[in-house]
Formats: sequence, C-alpha cells, structure tokens
Amino acid sequence: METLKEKVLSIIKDHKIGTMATLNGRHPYVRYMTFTNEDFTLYATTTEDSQKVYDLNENPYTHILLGYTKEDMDAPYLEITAKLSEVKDDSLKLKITNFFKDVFTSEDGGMVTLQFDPITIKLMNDGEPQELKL
Amino acid sequence: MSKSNKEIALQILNENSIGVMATNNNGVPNSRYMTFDYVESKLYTVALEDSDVVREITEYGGTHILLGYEGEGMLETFLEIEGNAATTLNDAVKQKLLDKYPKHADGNFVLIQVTPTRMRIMNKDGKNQEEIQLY
Repeated sequence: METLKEKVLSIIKDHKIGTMATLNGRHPYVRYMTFTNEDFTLYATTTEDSQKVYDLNENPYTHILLGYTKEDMDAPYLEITAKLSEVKDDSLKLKITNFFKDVFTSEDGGMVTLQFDPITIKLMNDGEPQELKL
Repeated sequence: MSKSNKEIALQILNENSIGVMATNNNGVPNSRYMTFDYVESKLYTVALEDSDVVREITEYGGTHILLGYEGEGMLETFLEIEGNAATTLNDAVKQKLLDKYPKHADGNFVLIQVTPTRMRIMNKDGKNQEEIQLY
C-alpha cells in the first residue's frame, strides 16, 4: 500500500500547475503558477520585479493548492503551507519557462526561481484529510 | 460580434462555480477550493461555522478569489476578484445553496458573502487583461 509520502509525491510529480497564495500586508492574493519539484521542495520561476516576489520578500509564507482538476473532482489534491527559502537565478528556470511561457514570463526584467520548503502538506479528497509534517 | 470583456466576466461569474479563495490566517496565507454562486453582484458560498475559513474571514475579511478553474491548469479566461468576505444572514440564498449542494444540508453551515471591490479579467495568453467595471 502506498504511504502518505508516496501519495503526496505522486501528486506533486503529476501536476505542474497550481495556485499560490501570498499576503501583501494583511491582504491575501492568489494566482496560477507552474511548479517543478525535487522531492517535496517546490520551485517556481517568475519575473524578479513581480508582485509575488515583493510579497514573499515581506512575508515568506505561501499556501499552494496542487492537483485539483475539474475532470475528476474526486481526485486527491494537496494543500501545502510552505516557506520561501531561496531566490536564485539559475538554469532551472529554463526547464519551467518553456511551459506557458507567455503567461509567466515577460521580456523585461530578470527571471528568478523561487524555492519553497513545505512545512505541512495536507492530502485532501482521499478520505479524511491527512497531514504530512516536514 | 465578439463578446465584450464585461460579458465574458458575467458569464464566468454565472457559469463557473469553482474557485480558489485566499484568506489571511493570522499572518500566513491560506486558500481552498470553494463553490460560489453569483447573486445580485455578490458571491456566496457556504462553510461550516467552526471551519478555518469562517474564523479567518471573521478576523480579517479581505479575500482574493480566482474564478474559472478548468481541468489541468486553467481556463483560457478567468477572473481575479478582490473583495471583502463576511458571514451573512440571507435565508433565501442560503437555502438555494444548500439545495444545490445537498451534502451540506447536515451540519452547522453559515453563509459567506463576498463583496467584490476589484475584478480583473485574465487570459491564458497574457493578452487583453483588464479591469472590469461591472456596475
């Protein structure tokens, strides 16, 4: 039988597009993002001068929803509370920016890759919610 | 003639019930999928009275919603809605929602009303994004 960790990792691997919420002062904002992963660590590439980068510099916490699809609304998905741990300008971005290039990149300004370390991951829609603490 | 952005926005509001609602959980962002009904220029959803979302909007009502979630990823066009959320008493709307989602009939559900303050129409290709003034 699949362990909770295995279930969570398979959803992360199979779903690249999710939503990412941040706080701007007190006010929440959420947008679609594409993610890649190395185990439970998530990466997202964006423009350096974007609102989300500004928000995350002020408050590094984020909440990510990954794995929900309208085709299968009963499929399991993840609610992830994570913290920004690193902002880097490296080659990983190339892997991501080919995907939905037009939405997530712009021609001006540098691109940065944001690294998020999950704090808790909740597996939803698979019976009672199960929480993985990392 | 192609539809105006305002018409497209109204269509998304009326036809797409599933969205992502972000809230402030004591200095940490939180979000969840919710179903919304658009009634007389406000969005409504129901949640358990003792749920995180009800506690969070009671502490701080500011919310941000993405509406128009489709499949693996997103719709060609979707809405970003900034608004204020509060629990409210509107028995007619609440009953309508409970009838529509019968699994919510059992339990202590409260009605959440979101008053949009700003709405932006977004496109997958990143073009033609604009603020929508509905009223």
